[in-house]
Amino acid sequence: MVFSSVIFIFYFLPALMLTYFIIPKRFRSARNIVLLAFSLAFYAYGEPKYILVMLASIFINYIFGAMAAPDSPLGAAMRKVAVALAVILNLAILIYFKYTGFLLDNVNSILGTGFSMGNIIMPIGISFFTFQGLSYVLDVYRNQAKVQKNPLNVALYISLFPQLIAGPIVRYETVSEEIGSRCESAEDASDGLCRFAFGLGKKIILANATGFIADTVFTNAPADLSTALAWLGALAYSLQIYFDFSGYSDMAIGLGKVFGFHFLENFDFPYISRSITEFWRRWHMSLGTWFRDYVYIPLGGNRVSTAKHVRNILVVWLLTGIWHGAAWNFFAWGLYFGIILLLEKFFLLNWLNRLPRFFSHIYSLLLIVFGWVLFRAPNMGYAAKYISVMFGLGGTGLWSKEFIYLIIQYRTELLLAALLSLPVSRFVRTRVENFKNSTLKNFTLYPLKGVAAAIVFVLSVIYLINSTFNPFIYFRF
Amino acid sequence: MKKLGIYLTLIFFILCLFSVPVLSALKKSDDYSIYENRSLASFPQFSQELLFSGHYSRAWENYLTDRIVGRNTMLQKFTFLEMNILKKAEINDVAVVGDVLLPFNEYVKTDTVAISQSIATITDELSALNKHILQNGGKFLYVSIPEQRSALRSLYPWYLNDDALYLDTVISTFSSGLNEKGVPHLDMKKEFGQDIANYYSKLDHHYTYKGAYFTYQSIAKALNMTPAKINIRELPNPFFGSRNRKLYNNFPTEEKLMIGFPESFVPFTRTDNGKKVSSTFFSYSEKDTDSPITYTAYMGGDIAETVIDTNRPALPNILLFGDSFTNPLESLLYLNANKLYVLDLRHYTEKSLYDYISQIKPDIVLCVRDDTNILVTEGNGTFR
Repeated sequence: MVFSSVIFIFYFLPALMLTYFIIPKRFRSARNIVLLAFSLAFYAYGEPKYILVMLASIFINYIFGAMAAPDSPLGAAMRKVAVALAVILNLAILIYFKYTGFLLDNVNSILGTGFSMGNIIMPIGISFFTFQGLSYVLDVYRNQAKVQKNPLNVALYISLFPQLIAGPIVRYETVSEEIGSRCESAEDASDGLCRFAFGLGKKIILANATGFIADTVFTNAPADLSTALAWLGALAYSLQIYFDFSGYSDMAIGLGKVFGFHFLENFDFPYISRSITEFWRRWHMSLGTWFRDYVYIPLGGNRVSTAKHVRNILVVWLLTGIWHGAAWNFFAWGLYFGIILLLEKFFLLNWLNRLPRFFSHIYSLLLIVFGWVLFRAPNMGYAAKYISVMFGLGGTGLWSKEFIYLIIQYRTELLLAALLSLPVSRFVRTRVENFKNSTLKNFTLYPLKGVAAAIVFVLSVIYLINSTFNPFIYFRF
Repeated sequence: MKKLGIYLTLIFFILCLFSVPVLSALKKSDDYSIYENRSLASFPQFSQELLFSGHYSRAWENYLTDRIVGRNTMLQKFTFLEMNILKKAEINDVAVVGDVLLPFNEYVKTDTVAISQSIATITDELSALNKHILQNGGKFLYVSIPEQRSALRSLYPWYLNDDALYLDTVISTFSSGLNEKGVPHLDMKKEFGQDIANYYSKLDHHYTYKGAYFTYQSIAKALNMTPAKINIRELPNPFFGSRNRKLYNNFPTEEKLMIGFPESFVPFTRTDNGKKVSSTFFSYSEKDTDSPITYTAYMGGDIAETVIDTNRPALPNILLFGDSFTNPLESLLYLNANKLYVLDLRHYTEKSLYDYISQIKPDIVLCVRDDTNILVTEGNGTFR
């Protein structure tokens, strides 16, 4: 099930809200059971058999979490073994479903063999809930959060539907208290629904339109593209992936808030970055911090020799790359950013900080956009040829009719997307919060925001009914 | 003010989220969408296999989306938004070009080599068909009619693909192929000439009745027959052209569907698929002038087999086969026929065209197809 669907918005969500809120607040366990049941139904819808994979993940993490907890009867060494086993089993599940085909293809290619394990279909969201499960065990082991005695609460944490399929990766320590005791309020529900509406608009109105442009361009061989069309495709994809993913995160955060959960932000206007270092502090922050806290720091972080520091950064970025997909271009994408980050860390950043904002901004945007071409391309060869065409080499010329058509057709969506990738809402909010007139301030912050959310929601539903082009990008992770 | 804002927002969302499913369940649902020209999704059938494969849940999604309350209104409003506010170049695969609606053509490369190879096969088949007709005592004429987007391609704005290279390559290669193989051919694009726009609908992919009448006159001339004189009039009903239907009839127009009657009445009987039906060529009501009317008013739409019998043995028996461009022609060609047999090979499956010709031995066989379907070998492109 996806958020941007009639069945979710008008059937699943109202049924959940009715069933959940009809139970008095004091029956926290009952409310949690309702949320758990609906979350499992959310996941099972569309792929019923893969619910078993999630249940297996929940079981493994519950058992090993209990064994790894500081108050477990096992000694320190056995607790470490429990953590190691949890990591191995979680990653084994992920590797089996996500990387077996890729690994076998490469072995066959090198050895000339024909090994096959059939068509292994990857359960949706496996990368997200696997990392969440690991987060539970590791946070418990490190005593950063209390172990859950109740397996249903572990199940709820791992399967919680708002962030189950496409993040943000919610760290266990973020929600451990709220699982047991949280306070749902009208203000949070209102805020959450507004956030959901804005996220829905980002996804359906902006991401789908820019996605259509990107798909139209990327279905062509690079040699059939004009330079302008290649740039348009790359920029459109950059906008698509941002609004698709951040829109989904907004919806997830908004829905979490309705039910009393307060997830951390996942995006902070990444396209205003002046360096790639800054970009990765603003983009998919939950993944970045996960790798930082569970891979980079345990490897020693930057408190080691220079050689090991470089190793640690490259390991994190190669893992980040392949987490996104089982293909060499994702590996290359991760390596690409790893190298740029190293260059910035060791000498570029000082230089960038001295440049006027405009130039450092252009530097970042160019590198980000080229990175997205590598990410979007079906393979490395395509990416290389595509980027060549962006520089005027090997295409059909400087511009084409199709480029003009796409600009005319999507001019409104492109302008809106470009504008909303800037922190306009934050700028407006800051100005409003400084209003001296408290009535005007409250009117703008509350009823007016509600009206804006209502308009975006209605428009989004109209677009949704009209649309047949509605894929979520991050579902393949 | 803060509390007011919070509660008003909550009330709005709760009302929306709860009222839509309730109203959708209560409303009487149509099974067919006239605007989309398709059946709406039916109630999902349950089976374990469908459940575990994921098809059952997808079926529910399609069903609930198709049956949501206010669907047509939302689609109409969306089309209005795209046409009049966002001023899109293309809406629902339709390009609004002044007062004409044309289809949007994808930007695809024209493979002239593949076209030549396909045309060679097709013209070989037509040549073989021509021989078969001659062996059965008849004569054959292939009538190629421009589809609306082919006829009016000069109206496309410069940045939209008018498909000119594809169409010109297909038509010229096809014409040359037919000429080389001695298959009689009438190219209506040449016959219409500079005035071609006067013969075509602005809202539909077909020609108008005037275009059909001109085609009839051209066919009669090519076969050395005298065309009958016709009085043409407009029906007052609102006309739902195929292109305007895609825009939920948001495109303002005064265009009406035309019909025609001979100056000298010729009585006839009509049989559709072996059953006798009322002797009329046009499906409309004189009394009901408010209900919309579509191109299917001609003959009631595409029918597998129609036989028009005028009981005039001195006149030739004519077999007409082809696509929907034949529909208004039937109300004209019968005037020069003893019997007019009409086949739509997309729907007629009783016997092959070859066998049909062997059986009825028509004096004249006409194939009428639009030029965008020349390369289509299924349906009206399959003769054996």
